Amino acid sequence: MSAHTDNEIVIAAPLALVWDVANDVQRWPELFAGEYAAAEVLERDEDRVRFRLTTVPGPDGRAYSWVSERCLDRGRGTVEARRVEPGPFRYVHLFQSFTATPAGTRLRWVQDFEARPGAPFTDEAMRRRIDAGARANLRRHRDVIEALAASGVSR
Amino acid sequence: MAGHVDVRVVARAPLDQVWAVATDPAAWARAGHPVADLERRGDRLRFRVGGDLVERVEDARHRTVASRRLGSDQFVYCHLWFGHQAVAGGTELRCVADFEMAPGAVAGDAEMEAVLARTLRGNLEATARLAER
Repeated sequence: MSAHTDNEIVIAAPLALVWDVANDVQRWPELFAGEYAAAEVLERDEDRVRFRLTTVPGPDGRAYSWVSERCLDRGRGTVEARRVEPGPFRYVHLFQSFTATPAGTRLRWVQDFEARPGAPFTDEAMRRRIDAGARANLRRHRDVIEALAASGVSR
Repeated sequence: MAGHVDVRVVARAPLDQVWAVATDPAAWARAGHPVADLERRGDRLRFRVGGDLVERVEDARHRTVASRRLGSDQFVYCHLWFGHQAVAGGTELRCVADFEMAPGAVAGDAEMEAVLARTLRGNLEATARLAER
């Protein structure tokens, strides 16, 4: 009847770099290892981006595609996102925060969602999948962004 | 670390009528819940409640609304989802809230769950009663 995940990681890089890279949707195939085959920006304005994500085909050979929207608040270091095409979900809401800490930038991802009746998964199965995916992809974000920071990219 | 509220009310009225009321700010005002500084752009509505800026995005096809608070000093985030679906005898109105209170906010997550459960149920009931007229 709804599920919730909450994960975070500290990235040894300045907030401006973490913000710029993590919000560069076109880089997501690199930042979410093995998850997204393509990310296409459909509409963008100052604080909002609407984009289409296409997954890497799963073991059954099927790829999934949907439109999402991210609303950015650079001043607060927060992003709120949702699936515009909910597909098998009733809703998917994301909250992300970017916080400067002495060790670097803390990146936090919170997701709330609920599967539709008849979806090919339960809330609990999807919660486990999203939770494990978030942990792996936060580590991937850390590895990619720390490598950029080490190579002298500042933003 | 997070608050969650899920309330449902049934209106003895058809889905289209409930949807029309639920997405009409003039109806909210008639129900005693006026909003300030209303601005509509397509399917997106912005207004103020208390001191907070709220943005609602309607999905007419799915009869759902996603709502969030922007720039609140009380909430780290506050996401509401409104669903409307035909059920036996009328239309079910449902509101799910997911939120987290800020450190130093006037209420904690558990306290705000109780407040929102009461407030959101009241809002849904007001919408249902208007749609039944």
